[in-house]
Amino acid sequence: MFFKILYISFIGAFISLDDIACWQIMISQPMISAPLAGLALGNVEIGILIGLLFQLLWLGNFPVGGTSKTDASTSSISTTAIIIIAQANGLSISSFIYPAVLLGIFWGMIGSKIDIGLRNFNSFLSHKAFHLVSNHKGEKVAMLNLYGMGLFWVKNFFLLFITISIGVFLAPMILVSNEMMISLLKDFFILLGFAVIIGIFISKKKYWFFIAGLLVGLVIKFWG
Amino acid sequence: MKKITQWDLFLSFLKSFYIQASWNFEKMQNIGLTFVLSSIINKLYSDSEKRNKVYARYISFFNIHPYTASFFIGMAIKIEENIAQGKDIPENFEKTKKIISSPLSVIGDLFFWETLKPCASLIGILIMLFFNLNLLGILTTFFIFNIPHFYVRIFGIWKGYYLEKQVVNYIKKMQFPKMSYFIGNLTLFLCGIAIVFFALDGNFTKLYFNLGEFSIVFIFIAITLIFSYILKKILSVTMIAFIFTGLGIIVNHFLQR
Repeated sequence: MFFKILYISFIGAFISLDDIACWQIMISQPMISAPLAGLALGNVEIGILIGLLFQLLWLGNFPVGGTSKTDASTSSISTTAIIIIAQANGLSISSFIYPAVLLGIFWGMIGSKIDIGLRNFNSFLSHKAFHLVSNHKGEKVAMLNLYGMGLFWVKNFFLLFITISIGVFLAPMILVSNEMMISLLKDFFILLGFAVIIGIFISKKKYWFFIAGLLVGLVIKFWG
Repeated sequence: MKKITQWDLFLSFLKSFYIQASWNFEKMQNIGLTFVLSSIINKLYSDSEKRNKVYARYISFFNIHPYTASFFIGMAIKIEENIAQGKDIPENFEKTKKIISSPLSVIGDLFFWETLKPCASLIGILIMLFFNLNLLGILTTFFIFNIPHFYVRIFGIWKGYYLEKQVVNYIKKMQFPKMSYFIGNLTLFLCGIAIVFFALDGNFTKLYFNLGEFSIVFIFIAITLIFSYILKKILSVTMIAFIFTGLGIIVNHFLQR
C-alpha cells in the first residue's frame, strides 16, 4: 500500500504541474487527471466517474493571475487514489465515494492556500534575480525558473502523499453504502455543474440561448 | 552580428510552456519571461556586461496570459534583435510590453479560460454522460481546447516576430471577442439540451419521484436555476459540494441506524 501511494504521488505530482506551474495543456483537468490516476492504479472507471464529477464542479475554476482557485488536479487524483487503494477488504468500491470526495474537496481547498503560499515564496526568487543581476550574473536568472517548477512538484508530491495516506486510513471508517445516496451524489454534482455553466455565461441577452436549448431538448425527447 | 533562426523561435516556443513556473506576487512572470528569452539574449549578446544589462531589463514586472504571451514573445525577440543591431532602443521594449500585455491578458482569459475551457469540457462530458463513450469524451475535450491553444502558441511566436507591431492587426482579425460570444451562446444552448436529457434519462423517476416527465424537467430546471442563484449570491461551488457531501455522510449514518 505504501509503495502504491508513493507511486501515484510521484506520477500525480507531474500531472498536477500542468495546473498552474507549466504546460497548461489540460492534462491536469479532473476529467483527464483522474482517469490517468485510475489507469496508473488499475481502475480507470473510478477515475472517469470522479473526473466527470469534479470537472463539472470546477468548470468555473480559472487560473487568472494570482487568484485563489481550488486545487482541482491534486484533489481529483487524491480522491481517485483513495477510493482505489482503500478498497482492499472486499467492500463495494462505490461506498468509498462519499468520504473520498469529502476529503478530496477539503484537500483541494487546502491545496489552493498552499499554491498562494508558494507564489508568495516565489517572490524570494524574484529578489534573488535582482541580486544576481546586480552581481553581474544575469545569465543565471533563467535557472531560477527551474527552482520554481521544482517547488511546485515537491508541493504536489507531498500534498498527494499526505492526503492519500490520511484518506486511505479514514475512508473505511465513514462508508456510505446506501445506493440511493450514492446515486444522489452523482446527480447533485451534475446539476451543480450545469448551474456553474449558467453562472459563467448567462446574462439578460443570453437567456434566449438557454431557453432555446431547453425547447430543442424537449422537442427531441418527446417528438424526436 | 548573429541572426535569429527558425530553431531559435522553435526553442522559444518550447520554453514558453514554462513561463508560469516561478510566478510570484511581486513581479509575476518576470523570471518566466527571462527563462523563455534567455537563449535569445545569450545568442545576441556575447559581451557579458551588455548581456547583464539586458537581463536587468527583463526582471522587472511582467504579466500576461500564458497562451497569448506567444505574440509578445515573438515581438520581444524581434525588438531584441533590432536593439542588438542598433536599429531600435531599449525603451521601445518597455513601451511595447506595457502597451500589449494587458489586452493580450484580457483576450486570453476571456477566450481560453472563461469560454473555451467550459465549452470543451461540457461537450466532452455530454459525450460521456449520454453516449457512454468515455475515451471519446475525454479526447474531444482535449482536442477542442488544445487545437486553438497550440495554434495561438505556435503562430503567436512567428507572427509576433515577423509582423512586429503589426501583430496587433493580426490579433484583431482573429476576432476573439466574437468567437467568445458565439462559443458562450453555444455552451448555454447545449446546457439547456443537457438538462432536459439528464432529467429524462436519469434514474430520478424510479428513485425519487412518481411524477410525469414534464414535471421532472421543470423541477430540474428550477433546481439548476436555484443553484445558479446560490452560486452567484451566497456560496462558492466548492463549499456547496463540501457541505452536501458532509451532510450526505451524516444522513447515511442515521439511515443505517
